[in-house]
Amino acid sequence: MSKRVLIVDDTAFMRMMLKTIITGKGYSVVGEAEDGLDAIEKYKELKPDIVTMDITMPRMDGIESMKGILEIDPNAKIIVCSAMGQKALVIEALRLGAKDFIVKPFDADRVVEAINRIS
Amino acid sequence: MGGQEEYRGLFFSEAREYLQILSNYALQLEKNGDKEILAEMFRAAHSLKGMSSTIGFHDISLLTHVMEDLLEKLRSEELTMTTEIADLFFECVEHLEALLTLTELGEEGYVDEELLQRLSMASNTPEEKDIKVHTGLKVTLKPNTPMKSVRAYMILSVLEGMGDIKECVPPIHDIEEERFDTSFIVYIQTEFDIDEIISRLIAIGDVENVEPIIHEEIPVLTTNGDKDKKESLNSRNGTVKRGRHVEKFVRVEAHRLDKMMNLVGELVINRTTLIQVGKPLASRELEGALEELGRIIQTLQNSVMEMRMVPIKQVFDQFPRMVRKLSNEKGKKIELVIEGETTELDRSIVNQISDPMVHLIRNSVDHGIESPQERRNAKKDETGLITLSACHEGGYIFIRISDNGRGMNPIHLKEVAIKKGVITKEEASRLTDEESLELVFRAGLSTAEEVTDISGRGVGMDVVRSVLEALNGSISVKTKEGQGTTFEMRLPLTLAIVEGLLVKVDDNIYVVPIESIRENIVMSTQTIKRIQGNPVILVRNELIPILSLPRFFGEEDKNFTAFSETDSEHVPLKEISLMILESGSKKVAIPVDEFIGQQEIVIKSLGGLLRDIPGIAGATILGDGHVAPILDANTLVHWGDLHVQEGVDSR
Repeated sequence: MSKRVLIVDDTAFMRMMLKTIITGKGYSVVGEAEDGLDAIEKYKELKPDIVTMDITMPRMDGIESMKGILEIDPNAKIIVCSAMGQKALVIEALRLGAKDFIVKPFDADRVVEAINRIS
Repeated sequence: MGGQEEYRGLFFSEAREYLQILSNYALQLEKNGDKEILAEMFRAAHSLKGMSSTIGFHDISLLTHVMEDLLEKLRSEELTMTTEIADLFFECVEHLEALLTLTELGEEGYVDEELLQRLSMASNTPEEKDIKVHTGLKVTLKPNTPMKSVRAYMILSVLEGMGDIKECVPPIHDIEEERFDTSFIVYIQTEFDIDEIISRLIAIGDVENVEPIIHEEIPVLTTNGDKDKKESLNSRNGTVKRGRHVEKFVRVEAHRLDKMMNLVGELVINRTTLIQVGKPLASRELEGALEELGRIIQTLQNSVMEMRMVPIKQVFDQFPRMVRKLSNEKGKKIELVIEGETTELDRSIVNQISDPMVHLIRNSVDHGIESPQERRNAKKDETGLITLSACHEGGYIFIRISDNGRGMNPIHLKEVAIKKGVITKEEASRLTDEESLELVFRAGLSTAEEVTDISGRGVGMDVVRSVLEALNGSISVKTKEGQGTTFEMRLPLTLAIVEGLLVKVDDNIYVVPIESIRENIVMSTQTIKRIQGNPVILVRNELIPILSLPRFFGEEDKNFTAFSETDSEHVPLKEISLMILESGSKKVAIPVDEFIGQQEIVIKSLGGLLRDIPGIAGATILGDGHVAPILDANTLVHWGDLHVQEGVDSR
């Protein structure tokens, strides 16, 4: 059974990019969320195997959202997506329990590798 | 490293200080493994490590890192102090010293590999020696890995979970700053099997390769940018090149210099005694010999002073960069002019004035200089000017920080002070403009409407003042609304010996530092005028208050009573000698019965109850063994100024 991925990112463009990369490698994207709050709701509803989590988002950022998700499911597998220069935030996310990180602009191979590694 | 040239001086002087701490405490450490001593040493080693890795002296940072490690173990009682360990520390200190000296001279110093090994061996407790010691792992990341440091963080986190990380090459700090190419080496003490560790590391993203390093293999530093530079750790023989330059420097503890200074002082006193004893003999030979002795003492004194003096440039050098950075942040245009950076002052003072100065300059940038728009509106040059100057004046060092910004408004200051509860409305109404300005030095007062992260948190100026007072100095402020503000710091030279004038007033002998004396004049009592009962004289159209020394010190002044009577008719007509003291631009005239003469005096600080007598800066021992107080011109002049001011105001 292929792994089910939830994509969290506030820009539709980025979601589409990721979706293309992920589905191209045989994973299925079960849902998309536009912000941190949305992500928590969708997580509860969809119970995905993997979440890709953008850090900077309106309403609730990725870090807070991660905390919320990990509270619901301490075993949640979250990959944080960050832009260059957000080193400190990425480290914080890892410390909080993110399993891995990918850096924008996305390199298709690295994204797939990250997902492969934690599934 | 190039851009950091300016900080080199500061680095070396500070590094030496820490080294000093290490060496001092290493001595005590051998006697007792006191926790506090260990903590001090740990801090010193830690600071040195941080400093040296920041400036890029990796070998120094490597050595201090290992020292830090060992100290930590001693502190946590994982290890107990032995003579061997103490010896090791001495060796380290010596080695560091040589490294520092070489590096300062621009030569390359290498850390002694063998010493490092002995250090890391020493920091392994006997029980642990059975465990696999220091497994070395070379971790290589894929080329073009984004956020290498975060990957490294993940790798190090995994390793931390599996054992104790002993050392990284390059140092962990550099790894965090991404100062490595694609690979770094971690030494870890662990019970896990090496294959197990490798397989876990390989599972981390972007890790290309992990290979074990056999301990004999010497790690190679790979730093970004200077890959071709033969790595310092590679020196197989590992000894520091003790070049011909090393002997040029001798490190001497500061208190030894103080002792020497004191002895020179005693010599001066002794010479004065000799002169007095020899006077009745009227021997030309003796006079000649004494004169020669005087010259030698003078030279000796200068050399000792020189040893303690450093140019203020050390402190000033950090400011151009700081001002540029701050003004960019604040969107202001500011030019910084520095004057008198070669002025020398005592090293211990230099170390302490840096922080107050940083604060004052930040204030100038933040509150003093206006935005370009504001300046244009005020018809001022768009670019603000901050002038930093240091000079020698009247036996003191003056450091001035002035800006041509918006200045301060005494009335506004008062309002803020009332609002913040620093003073009451009533108190405020009694303050003169000048006194109102002094409010800036009070705790809890910040005139910034808005707190910024540069300054204006309402703490600061009071701290600046207390730092200066602790150094026996002072700070004053002058301002003109719309034109700018000047802060003036006055610091003693810590010259233990000054040229002084001996004067007699009412049978007491006082010493006045010659630099404080503007002139000595003789005037008729007729010329004395009064403002509100306070006697003043007019010298070249300048009103100078007259101060009676006995009165100032709370005694009766027989000669002086006449001057202060309001009825000028009753003043007996006679000539009086006046000594005019000057401090800053202010003056005071002191009636003197007799000028005894000029001589070199040794300042002895007064202890206990006598320390805080206003008007007295210290005491000296005269040639005949008597003790005479040294007058503090600044306080006296200030007193006189207040009195005239009062008189003028209430007239």
